[in-house]
Amino acid sequence: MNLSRSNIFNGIFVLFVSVLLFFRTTGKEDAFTTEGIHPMDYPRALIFLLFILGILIAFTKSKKTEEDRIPIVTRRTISMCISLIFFAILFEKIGFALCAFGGMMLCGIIMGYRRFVLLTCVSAISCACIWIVFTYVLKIPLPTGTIW
Amino acid sequence: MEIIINAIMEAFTPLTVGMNFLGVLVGMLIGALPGLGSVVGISICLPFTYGMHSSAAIALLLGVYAGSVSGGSIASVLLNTPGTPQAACTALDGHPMAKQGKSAQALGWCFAASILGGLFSCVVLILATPTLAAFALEFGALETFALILMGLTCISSVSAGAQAKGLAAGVIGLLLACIGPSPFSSLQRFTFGLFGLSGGIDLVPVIVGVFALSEVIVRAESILYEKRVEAMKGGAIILPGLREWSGRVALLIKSSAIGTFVGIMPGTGAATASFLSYGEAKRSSPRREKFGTGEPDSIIAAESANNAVTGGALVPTLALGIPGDPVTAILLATFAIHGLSPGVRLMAESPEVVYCSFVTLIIANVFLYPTGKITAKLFNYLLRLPEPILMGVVVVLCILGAYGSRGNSVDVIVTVISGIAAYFMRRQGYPMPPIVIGFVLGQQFELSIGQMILFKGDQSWLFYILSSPLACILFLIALILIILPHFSNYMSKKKITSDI
Repeated sequence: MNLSRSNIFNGIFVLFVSVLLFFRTTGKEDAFTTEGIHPMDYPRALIFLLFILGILIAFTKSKKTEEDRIPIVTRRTISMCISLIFFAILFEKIGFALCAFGGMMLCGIIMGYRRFVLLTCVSAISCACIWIVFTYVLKIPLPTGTIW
Repeated sequence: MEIIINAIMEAFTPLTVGMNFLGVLVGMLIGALPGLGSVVGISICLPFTYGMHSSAAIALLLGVYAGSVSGGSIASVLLNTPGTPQAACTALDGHPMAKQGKSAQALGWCFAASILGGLFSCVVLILATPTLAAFALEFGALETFALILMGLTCISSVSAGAQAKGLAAGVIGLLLACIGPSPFSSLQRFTFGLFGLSGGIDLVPVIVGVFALSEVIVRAESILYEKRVEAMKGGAIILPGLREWSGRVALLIKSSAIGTFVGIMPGTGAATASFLSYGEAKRSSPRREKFGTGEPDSIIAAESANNAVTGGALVPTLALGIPGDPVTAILLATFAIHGLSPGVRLMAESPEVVYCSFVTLIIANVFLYPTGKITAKLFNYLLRLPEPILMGVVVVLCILGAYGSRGNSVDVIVTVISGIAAYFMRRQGYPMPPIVIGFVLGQQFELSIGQMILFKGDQSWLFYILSSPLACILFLIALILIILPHFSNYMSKKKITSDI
């Protein structure tokens, strides 16, 4: 059988996730049951199904697509992921204005844009416009930062 | 007849028409921004209706509802970042079509299908509201379970070519819906001790993360390899000609019927309708092999279904006073503010209000085209920005959209984690729609299973299922939907080998 290495890794990862999730469903045996059904029975059934599917995925042949020529893990994609994580963590702490301005600048730099003056101006103007629209038009208050 | 004429005259007063147009335009603009959607749009406009005449108030809010459902498709097509959950399916073929330089045509298909789907549901609404309302009351736990099971079977159709991965993605979506309190015992599940997850995960952060943020991460690298969508020259929307509809009319009618039917059922919504319809089109369309490469059939199925929901959702709202989702709950509040009580009494005591609402919705659907042109032109200016700058704006809007739905910073973290996980899943060949289908239907699915077990009592399962002919029909349809794609595949492979 012609197996694909990436699918074997995928299948093993899915099996690993299923086992992890299964352990999260244990230790709650004293929970209230409804008509004999424990609240963890439904998730356990889904996890069991995921386990079976993990095995099937490991034994599936993969098809080549056009996107395969683009590497999955590169400096840009990792930088983008790290930037997004920092954006999410700092969003309420330092407030919308700084976070959004920094996020837009970083996104532009990661994607290879090197006209810094234009990037700075457009980022600042965009942040201001978005803030005005959200605060005064949509009346959605944006975080101003908890550390100030 | 006199009632209908009075209702038409009321719907065509300058104030009512003006409010309707304004509502559609506001809804379109809000729907086009990732993460906001119909509830935000209607919530913003509700306070402005307090001093208005009831027909103008209803016209404004129905306009926002219709506009926001369609507006999400603009961002879907042009940026591959759905503005609303129900526009996620539109991106699957709308964006590939835009990448081929046919943005105006893609948007044309979107709006043509939206308008026709919306008008279809309005006609059904006018002709059959009392009957359909009575039909909606027939749906108990067993029937709801069967309907949702039917919805889940479309995971199989949208995963063609990657069945195991598609099903795994669907199961992951169902598991995501389990996060938070159990529906029957309030036991906290999969919260990992985090207070922010104790209420569960909202739909908007998942949709924004899975589709919009993952697209941004993909573009970070693919910008070096692929051309982006160009700004459209000339007209922003080119409607399809009559000839292009040849062979697609049946699909339009079927998708509109699915959307209307799903809209009538309380608890479902436009996202469910668009995925169901897309899955059915992928199973039955003669051009199904081209899905994912810019095939108009996919856009027709998704857009006509999600707009047909707007008419269908008014059936339980107006005829029974039962809101099916947060949007119709706000519409119900509007009626109450203006001294009207939706339900059986409304149909009997103020039928002209009901029919005026139907005519207003018809006018709102017609206004989708001019307001769509305006919104698409505005988006066209955005496309002239260099892509790195545009992606930065998209990231900020996505995060704000996710934050704005509940004002909860956990939603922002959920969005980013969903986006990163979805990126790696996408690159490993997992289809994204099944995650959303599983998530959207997951809570209702578990609730209906529990309700079924409660109502079944001491009866045998066979007796309980056979006691509802409607449920039996729905189960049979679900079984056919699961088996048919595999059977068709087997028969076509057999035909190919016998031809050789």
